Amino acid sequence: MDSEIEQRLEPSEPETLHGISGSPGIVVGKVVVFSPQDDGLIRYRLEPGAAAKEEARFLAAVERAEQVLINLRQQFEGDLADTVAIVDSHIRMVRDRMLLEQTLSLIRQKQINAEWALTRTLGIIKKKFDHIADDYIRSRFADVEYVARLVAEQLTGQGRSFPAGFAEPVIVAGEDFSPEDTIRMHTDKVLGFLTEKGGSTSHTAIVARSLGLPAVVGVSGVTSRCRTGDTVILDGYEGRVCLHPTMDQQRLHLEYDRQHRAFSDEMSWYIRLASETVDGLRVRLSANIEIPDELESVIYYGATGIGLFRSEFGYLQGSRLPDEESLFVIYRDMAAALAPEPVTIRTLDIGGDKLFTRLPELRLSRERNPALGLRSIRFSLREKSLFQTQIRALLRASLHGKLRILLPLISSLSELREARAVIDSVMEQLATEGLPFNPNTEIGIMIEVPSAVVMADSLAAEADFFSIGTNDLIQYSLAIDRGNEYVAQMYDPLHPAVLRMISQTVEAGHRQGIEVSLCGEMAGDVFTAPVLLGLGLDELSMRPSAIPHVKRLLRHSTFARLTALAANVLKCKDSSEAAALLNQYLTANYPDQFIDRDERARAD
Amino acid sequence: MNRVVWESKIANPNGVHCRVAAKLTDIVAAHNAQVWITGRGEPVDCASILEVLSLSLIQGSVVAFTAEGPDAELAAQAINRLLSAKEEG
Repeated sequence: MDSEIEQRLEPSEPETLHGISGSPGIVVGKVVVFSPQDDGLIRYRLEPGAAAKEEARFLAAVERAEQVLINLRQQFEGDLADTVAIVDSHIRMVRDRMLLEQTLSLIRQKQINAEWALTRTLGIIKKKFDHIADDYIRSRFADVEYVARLVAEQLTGQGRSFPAGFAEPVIVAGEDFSPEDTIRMHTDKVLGFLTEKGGSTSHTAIVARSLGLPAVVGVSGVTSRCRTGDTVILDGYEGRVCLHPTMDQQRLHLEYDRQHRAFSDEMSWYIRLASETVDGLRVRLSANIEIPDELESVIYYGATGIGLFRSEFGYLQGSRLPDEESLFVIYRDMAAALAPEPVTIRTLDIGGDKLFTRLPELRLSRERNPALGLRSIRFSLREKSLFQTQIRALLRASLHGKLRILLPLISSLSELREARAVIDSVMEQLATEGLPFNPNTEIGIMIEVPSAVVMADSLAAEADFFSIGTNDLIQYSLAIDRGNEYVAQMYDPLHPAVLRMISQTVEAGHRQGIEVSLCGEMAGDVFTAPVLLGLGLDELSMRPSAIPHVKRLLRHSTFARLTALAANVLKCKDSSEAAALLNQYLTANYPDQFIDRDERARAD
Repeated sequence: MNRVVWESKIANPNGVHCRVAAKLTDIVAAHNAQVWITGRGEPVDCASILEVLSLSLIQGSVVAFTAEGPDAELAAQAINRLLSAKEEG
């Protein structure tokens, strides 16, 4: 008997799973596994005459949820009387008149979908329960919520709970995390990220890097192999996860991590130094950020301004859209904190698919292909009042520092003109209202659609600066979805077509005398940065922690060597040749042990 | 139509919590009768566990009931037994 228990308690064998390095760093900790799906339910208005069908859909989901509970009850029956009693009360609730009739009547009267009606019903019930004086009974609302979630899961055909907080810092594992997920998890309670899907440029990886947390992505099978509570080593340098590690393994990994951190300390040396080559070529190294909280690390890492602030942040949080005043305060504080360095704020770069559920009043219909659909500047030009609010906030903040406005996804000159016309009219409006702003605020455009590269000379004549968004430019020009695990490995920053497009854009911009910046992941990668420096970009914008590394490269180079490297790389006919040249360069200019293995493998 | 009006005093130390409320709705479902709790604003239908729970009936409170239907008498007795019990049986 005793030996049997001991055997069961014996730890499982150590096991290593391989994925892709999403963000560097090593952590040892307990895992929390998330099942796939967001808690955010889809909300939409019904088409006329669809209410009856929706009611039937809801009732069918209730029936299925009830069946789930009945099955659960059977499992416990016999030995767990208390549990059975609770499940019994849940079975009553799922068929309860208050829940059913209220939801059905909302579907019918408000013409809204079942998920939405259910959520509203839950709100109504919550109000009733909130008035209950007795703590014990009031806390039973949790049971009602649980039952409603069961029904919702049956409606959507998916199940996932999204715990709000954890007792101790944990490694979060899941299929993939949307930016909203990762933003919501942005607390001191997360040690690192682990995902089944995605590559080094997936959203999870990008967000993890910007938060300075280790991440391993694309580890297939990880959510089924790991259980919540398991201890793992997450090795973000090598893209590995070690399940059930021995104490020795844990020690070894932490030692390697210490060496890495020592190297980072050396890097911090570079923070205060100028970003220039031995022979005096200066390149601005700026920061990409997603949330205002990152301002601190922007300043810490010595960024020469912000090359890209992704302004979607305020739009994906909270229950309503941000108003002009709250946007103004964010923009003003950011511009003021970094003045006189430039702060480049990109206008809303969001897809209709994201706002579809947030803003049912816009009555957007579902898109078959959101990546090629109503998003970004196209969305802003359709929902003009939303766009105007953001432009008003930006212009009003423009006097508090050097604020630059960046328009995303521009694909033609007429689109740029239309956007500028909106900005002009907002300027007139502000002037009439007597609100101060800088009328010379620079308006730049993202170069991320292949058509914009082709038309760069015409666009340069009417834009104040260019910012090349390589993440999307690569996806659009190579027809690769970097979040798609089947083709993610074809996402290739060194594809000759990509490098030529960057080079053409720089030339077109410089012929018109405007500054050309680059803000994709390539900019902060020590492997690809040298060729970008050699191509003549005026600014590279990257996650703040990468700045000292790229600066170290820059300070160990000369203008002549960098331009020669770029010229040679441009002659390459495929990316493996280019990778070999860059690898050679990196080996000569960067400590060997800290060069990413994956990237070296690509060159070999 | 058979109609019974009565009052029960809640004996369970935890009041009418989930399990008691579930049993109450079970009794209503098992009898050919409709049962309401009255005297607390609008009459509350005892077939709904959520309605009953939201009344927050704590130990010692006296609750007025009305039952209607062929089984009203039987339902009234069963409910009174349930609520006057100190423990769930």
